[in-house]
Amino acid sequence: MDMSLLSTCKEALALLFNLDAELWSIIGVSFRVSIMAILLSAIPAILVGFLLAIIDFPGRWVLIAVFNALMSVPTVVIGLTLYLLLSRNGPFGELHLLFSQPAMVIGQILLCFPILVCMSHAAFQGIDRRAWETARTLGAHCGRAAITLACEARFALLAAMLAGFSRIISEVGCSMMVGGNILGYSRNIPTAIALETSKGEFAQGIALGLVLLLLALVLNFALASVRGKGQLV
Amino acid sequence: MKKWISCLSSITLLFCLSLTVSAAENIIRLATTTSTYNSGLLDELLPVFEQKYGAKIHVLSVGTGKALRMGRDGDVDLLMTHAPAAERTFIEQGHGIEAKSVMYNDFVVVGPSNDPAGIEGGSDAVSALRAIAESQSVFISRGDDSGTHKKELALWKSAGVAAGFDGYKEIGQGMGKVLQVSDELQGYTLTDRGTWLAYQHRLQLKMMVAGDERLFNPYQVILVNPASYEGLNTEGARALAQWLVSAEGQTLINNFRINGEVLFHGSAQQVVTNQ
Amino acid sequence: MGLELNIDNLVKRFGTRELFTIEKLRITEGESLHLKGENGAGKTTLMKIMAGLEKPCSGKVMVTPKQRRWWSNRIHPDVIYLHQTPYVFMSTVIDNVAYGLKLRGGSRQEVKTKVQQALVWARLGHLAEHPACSLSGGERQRLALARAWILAPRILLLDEPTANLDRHSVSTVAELVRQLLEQGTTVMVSSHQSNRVTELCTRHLLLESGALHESSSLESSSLESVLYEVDTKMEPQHYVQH
Repeated sequence: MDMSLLSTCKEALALLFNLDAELWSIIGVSFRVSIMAILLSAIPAILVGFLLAIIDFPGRWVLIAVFNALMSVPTVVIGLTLYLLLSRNGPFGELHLLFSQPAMVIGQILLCFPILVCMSHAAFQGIDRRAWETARTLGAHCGRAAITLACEARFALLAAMLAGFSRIISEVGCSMMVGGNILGYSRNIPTAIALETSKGEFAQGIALGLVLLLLALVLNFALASVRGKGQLV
Repeated sequence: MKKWISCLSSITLLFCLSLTVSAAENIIRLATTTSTYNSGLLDELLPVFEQKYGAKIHVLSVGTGKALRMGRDGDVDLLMTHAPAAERTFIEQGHGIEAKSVMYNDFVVVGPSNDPAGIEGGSDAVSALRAIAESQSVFISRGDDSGTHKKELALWKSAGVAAGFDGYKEIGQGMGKVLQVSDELQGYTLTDRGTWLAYQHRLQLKMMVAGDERLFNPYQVILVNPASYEGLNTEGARALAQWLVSAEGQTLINNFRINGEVLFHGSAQQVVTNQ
Repeated sequence: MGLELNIDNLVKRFGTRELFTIEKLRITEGESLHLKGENGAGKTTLMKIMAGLEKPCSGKVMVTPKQRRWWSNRIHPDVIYLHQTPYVFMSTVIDNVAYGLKLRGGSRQEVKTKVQQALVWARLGHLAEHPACSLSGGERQRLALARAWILAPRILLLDEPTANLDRHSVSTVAELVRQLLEQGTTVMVSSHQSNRVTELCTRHLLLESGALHESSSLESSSLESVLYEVDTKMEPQHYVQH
């Protein structure tokens, strides 16, 4: 390789700032799919986390352990399972979803759901029991009291969403399998990086990597700024 | 609070809409090999067709083995592959119809410039592979059941060498990646000429053996059998296949150049001889 | 029609350990009660059961007239329980006070006026825009009282309202409770010792070894006579002014 790291990076920046259409369409797909996935999974997952924290039922710890284990399932395994389910040959073949953005969204929902459940469960566990009782005695019905608790745990829940988002915006395996890496339709940042590197186009790979890095920084700074400087309250 | 909720839900709705809009178009799903995709040929060809027919082609670039599997499962509409034996079985089993020969190029053996097996300049692929095995040189194999991999295994068979000698490494990746790895590990590999030309300027590898008729590499397009699955875009796929073998498609293929070199030769008018 | 709270054969157990059994207790409107008992006697649990926050193992708490509607899982809106150390929501003092009223769905203007009144009543006006978590213990206790006062409860259950407060804060809380009593609210104060707040109560209950007894005020005051004397040395006018 006669390409030095420096010149590759320069080329990458040029691509970004020249508003390379292909590059930006890839970034667009990435964001659309992942934001969609996180928005669709957030509320149900937080609800499950809340129920796990508040309701004592037999087998609760088993369920919690299962969700914890699901957090570490490799993305390709989820991808492969979903592939087999969505293939025309599979049980949900009639839906014609394989190699489409909705399929990617489903895959990413499956990936971030366990993270959201586990982290929101921990967030609700961290809330004082008196918060629930105070809300109830001041006239909140169960649902409203749950929302109050979610507001109390808002920073921890935001952090959970951020962790979930980080996992899905940067995962290759599942998107590659069920999205198919179709240019302009289902090619997102990670699959594009995988493809460009295999083609030896390192500049575009680095440009996309920079976008991911920048995104991670922006989101984390945003979270840090809303939650103050990390002090105890 | 209420403002936030309504804002969030409208954003979600917007995203939902933006996801479904593209479903209404005339989409043709083409599974093809990494070698044709990575060479840049399709970027040249397909936009012309899309413009003319108002269609959108979704290209899935995978190994031939995976492409045939996708065809068998009905997940794509059209295949463009280069593994004649496997394609014949595919059609015989009723998974595909209307196979058309589109173009050909050839495989070449490339290797490091110090050439430890001493095969440079030869034109007998089989004896070259035997020499590589005997000198225990490094050989990088696709190992992914692709057309190139199938061709490589067939050559090893004719050479009477069991693939799996000391320097033999299967890496299970696409053609471009294999060339990069061979370059890094100073090994030999079998590659199609198209990918080789596209990558040549970034590599220190050299062309070793070419021109053997056993290295002939024909590409075919095959429609996935519409009798097997409902909802395939067979009309679109047929139009694309016919356009590829039409005078216009063939001219575009013949005119495609990388660094001034021809990569593919249109073969619609010729009869493909399968080995 | 006057509000009434009746307890009927109430039993609470934790596992096999029985905390208490209360055969009968009747509380009528306008009463002021002092619930005495050692730590761990079950005062908090009893009050939470009365407020509907915890379930008894058997027996019933009936608040008449009934306010509960069959479709709603809200607990009785006229009975409010206040924690020993109040929980404050992570927002401003105003939002904390407005919480219950917003749930009842008053108009924005109405909520605003009532919150202002409550803040003035609890002497928290100067802290209105402050984050509630920056409040001191005494201020938090007043915030909790304001949060309840704004809902005009008929029965208010105060769990050790003065446990962690300095003498000045105790006086302020006692004054607020006195005003609540004047407004006709039934107040029940739990405390293991006598102080300014329990001094306002006319009826004394003792929760001891799993049973509830009526006891005379004289008896109770003699138990913690030292503390009681310290408290009573303060002039009443002194705290009223604040």
